Amino acid sequence: MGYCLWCHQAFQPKIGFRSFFSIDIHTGFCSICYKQLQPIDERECCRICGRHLKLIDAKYIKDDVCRDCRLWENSEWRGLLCKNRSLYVYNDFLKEVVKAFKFQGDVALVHGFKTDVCRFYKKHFRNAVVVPVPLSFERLAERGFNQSEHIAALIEKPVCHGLIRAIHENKQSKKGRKERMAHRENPFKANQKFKERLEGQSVLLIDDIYTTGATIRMAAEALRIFKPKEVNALTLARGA
Amino acid sequence: MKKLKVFFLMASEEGLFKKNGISGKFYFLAISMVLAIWFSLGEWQWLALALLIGLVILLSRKQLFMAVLAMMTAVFSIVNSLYISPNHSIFKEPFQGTFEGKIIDLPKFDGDRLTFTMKLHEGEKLAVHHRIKHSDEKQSLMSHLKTGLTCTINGQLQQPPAKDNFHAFNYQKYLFHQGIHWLLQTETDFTCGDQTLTLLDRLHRLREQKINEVEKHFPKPSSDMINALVFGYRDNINQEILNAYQMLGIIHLLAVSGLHISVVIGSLYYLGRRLGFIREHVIFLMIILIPLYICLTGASPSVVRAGLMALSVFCAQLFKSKISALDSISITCMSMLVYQPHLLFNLGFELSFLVTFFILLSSPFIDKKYNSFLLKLIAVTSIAQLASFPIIVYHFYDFSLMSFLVNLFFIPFITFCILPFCFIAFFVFWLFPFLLPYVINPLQAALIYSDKWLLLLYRCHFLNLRFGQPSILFLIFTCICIASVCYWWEASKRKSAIMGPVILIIALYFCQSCLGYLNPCGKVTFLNVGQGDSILIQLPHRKGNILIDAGGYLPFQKQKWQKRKNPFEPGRDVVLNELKGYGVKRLDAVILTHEDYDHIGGLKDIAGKMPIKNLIVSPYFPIEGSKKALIIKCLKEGTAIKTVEANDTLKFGHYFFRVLSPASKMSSSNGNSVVLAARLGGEMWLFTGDGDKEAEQDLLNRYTHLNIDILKAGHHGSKTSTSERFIKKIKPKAAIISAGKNNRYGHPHSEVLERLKKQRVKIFRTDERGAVEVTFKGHHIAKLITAE
Repeated sequence: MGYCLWCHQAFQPKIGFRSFFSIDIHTGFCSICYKQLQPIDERECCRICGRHLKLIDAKYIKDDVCRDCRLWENSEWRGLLCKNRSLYVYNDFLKEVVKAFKFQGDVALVHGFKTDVCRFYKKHFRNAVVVPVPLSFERLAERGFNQSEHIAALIEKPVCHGLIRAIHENKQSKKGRKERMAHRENPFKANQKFKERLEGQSVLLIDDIYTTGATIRMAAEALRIFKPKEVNALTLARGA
Repeated sequence: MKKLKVFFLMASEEGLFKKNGISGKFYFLAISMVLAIWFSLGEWQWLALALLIGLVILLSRKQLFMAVLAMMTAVFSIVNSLYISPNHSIFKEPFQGTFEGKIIDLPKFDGDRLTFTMKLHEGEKLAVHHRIKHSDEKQSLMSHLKTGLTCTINGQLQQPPAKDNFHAFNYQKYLFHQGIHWLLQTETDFTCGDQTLTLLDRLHRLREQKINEVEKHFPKPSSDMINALVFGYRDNINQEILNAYQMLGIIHLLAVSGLHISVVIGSLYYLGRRLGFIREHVIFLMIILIPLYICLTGASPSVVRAGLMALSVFCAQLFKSKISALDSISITCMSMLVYQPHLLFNLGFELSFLVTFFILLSSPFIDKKYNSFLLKLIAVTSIAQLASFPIIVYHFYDFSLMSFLVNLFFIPFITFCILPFCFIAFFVFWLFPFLLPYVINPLQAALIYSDKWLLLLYRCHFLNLRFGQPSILFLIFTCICIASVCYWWEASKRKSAIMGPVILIIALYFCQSCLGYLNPCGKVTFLNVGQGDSILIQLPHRKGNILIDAGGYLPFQKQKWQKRKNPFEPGRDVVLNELKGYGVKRLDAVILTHEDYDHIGGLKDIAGKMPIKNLIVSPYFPIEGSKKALIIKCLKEGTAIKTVEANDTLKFGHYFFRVLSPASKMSSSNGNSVVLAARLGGEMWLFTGDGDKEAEQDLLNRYTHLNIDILKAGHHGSKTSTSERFIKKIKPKAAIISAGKNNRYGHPHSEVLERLKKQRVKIFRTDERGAVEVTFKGHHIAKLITAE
């Protein structure tokens, strides 16, 4: 028996033949809340950004790649990001959850995503070095925690703080697409202390939401001096 | 009350259980209890211990607290089953005496036999077998004997009979697991009187009274069905129908089963709510009614299970808490086993819990995977079949693939059509008897029609898979396979995974058949058919199954009141059952040595139930009267009839059976017996039938160098056979005598035993040691075992 992280109702996770011998105490969302999350089918998502292709018009899709990604790949950012995978569509329910998690400080909510995050990591990014996208010092002081680090911690692998966010900016969520895409100074810097661990490795960036991909690509660019084999990203939600 | 409630809330929600995650995981404790009881009371106990240790180690690696609890449960139940509620008798040895005690179950009348269970004041339970001597006595006993009466009985204490054939029902063990150690055999009248009646006795009385009323006022199939479904009493149902239900795997529907209880309780709950009672009151009412209903239906394990599960759910609701179905079944299982550890060996208990447990485990994924009602039903049926498969095969040796289909149709049919109808019919009869015909006629029609179908399906047994008695290794293998199929089914994304269980069972069947062909051991089994002969020879690598004679009981002339519903028939109850147990699918030859009833009588129960390729008789076998009917029945089933005489040879693979006799017509029918000799396992065997001294002399005259190792003594050890000269000449090492226990002919005769002993021949008697099984391999005898 456990309590749902979101609705706080007591619930019993169903036991079947496969979970017969699992005796961990279940923490997470109850089945009703979990059902409101909209997982992205791995077979029907954009090859690069992991966007759910069913949700956008067919005319924007070409070779399983969405228009956004084609724009990225035709710019100077080409090839920086190998692929991004998101667990869920950023729907109204997830917006509420992320709001509570990120802005209202209910960090425990992150455990509800644990099984899915681990599953994605094992399936797509096995053995990649986990690098959470950092916050600037000011933002960390304001928020008290870095949400990406909490997501990264779910994987239960050593986390590598290979990035530093040197420049404090306004929140990405308060900006429009134009502003995000506008050429600006890269706020990220590679952390030289981790040169050895990252050099030539495949790197997995962890963030909460992928909207335009600007943040992730800037982070990837900052890591370029380490010449990583490839840079991927795992995010909770893919903004529409 | 309030304090209790607070305590319960604390314990369940905030306290120990929740914090450590025990709630929802009670099944680990139940499993460890089951394993512990198996270890302390069952067979193959080291397997149980190994499983128990494995479970504890597995738990301790994940959650130490759970492991400690599981271990404590196991230790507690071992101590409980061995020391706190031990199962032994206060009487050390059998004696004649007078016993006073209370009748605790429904007295059963079967012909001239009355059986019931009596509880002595000392607490000991006895199974009473009373032989009724007169029809008047039967009448008077039937009218006044009731549960709860206190009786004084003079009789003889006896050890209950153990199994006397390898696959026979073990009555001794059956009674032992019910806590009964002695049989009280009586023929004299006994007196009964009412003493203090407990509430339980009153409920038993009520049940008995209602059963008798239903029996009296309803026409035949309906009365049986109402008694079975409303009161859990099915002793009056026609044996043929019962067999059909059993073989088709739907016998569970005739007991008051879990599904059944849920339907009854569910509809009562709904009715109560519709009538405007508030929830708490309905729940409270249920908590009182369920135990009463359990008692009214005879408290068989499946009813108790379903009732207690419902009770636990309602109790939890009363305390505003929730209990998961898995916890509920686990707690129910544990409480039943603490109260009566030997229940673990009750077939109904095993099936009920195992099937329900599997259904509960599978329901999440079945719900998720299949949307249509039909697919869900098919999936649940398959899971139930899969769960019950090892138990069914272990106890009944056969598994009918038909049972998938029949269950699929009959579970909804009985539960949602017949069951409500039976309840309505019963209440109409109780409250408004004048309306009864309107209810009873459709029920009657439906039942007659469904019985017809069942019998039809029962008779065409082409989907019947014969496994025979499975070995422990095969059972373990089966269990592993079942677990993997369940695991795979749950993980599989394909909808066609629903075929998994059927495919598994067919695969296991082929596995078992192939093992038979690879088996280098052959067996010669002298079945214990009472007074009579029946010898089953199974050649290695399935080269042939040969039955020499089929046993048979000469029926006594009995009056109508004396006739038992199911008199003992050696052909059906021994030979056919043993054939099943050995996994014999067809007989290559049945040899009837001669025409005496104790050699051929059993064939009528075998023909038609088991394909027979050849029927072999001597040329002097008279085909007339009942024998003619028998032969015609065999011919109809496609059996070829052959006659053999001296110097013929029967060939099975590279095994030869020489026919030594009859060469010419003798003066008696016994003398005309077919006598066979064969070399099996490097030894020379002689099967003499009922051959008498004259036939033996004739044998010696014709075969002067006859040298025999193992002799089936002629004519059940009568002094007219097995002459001294014959033994001296053939010099057997061992002789087997097939005779009935305490038979009225006095077989085997002491003279014959003397003669054999004088020649230092080892004697094995079926009347003393039960069936004799000799296993041979290559050119030597591997082992000889007896059933008793």
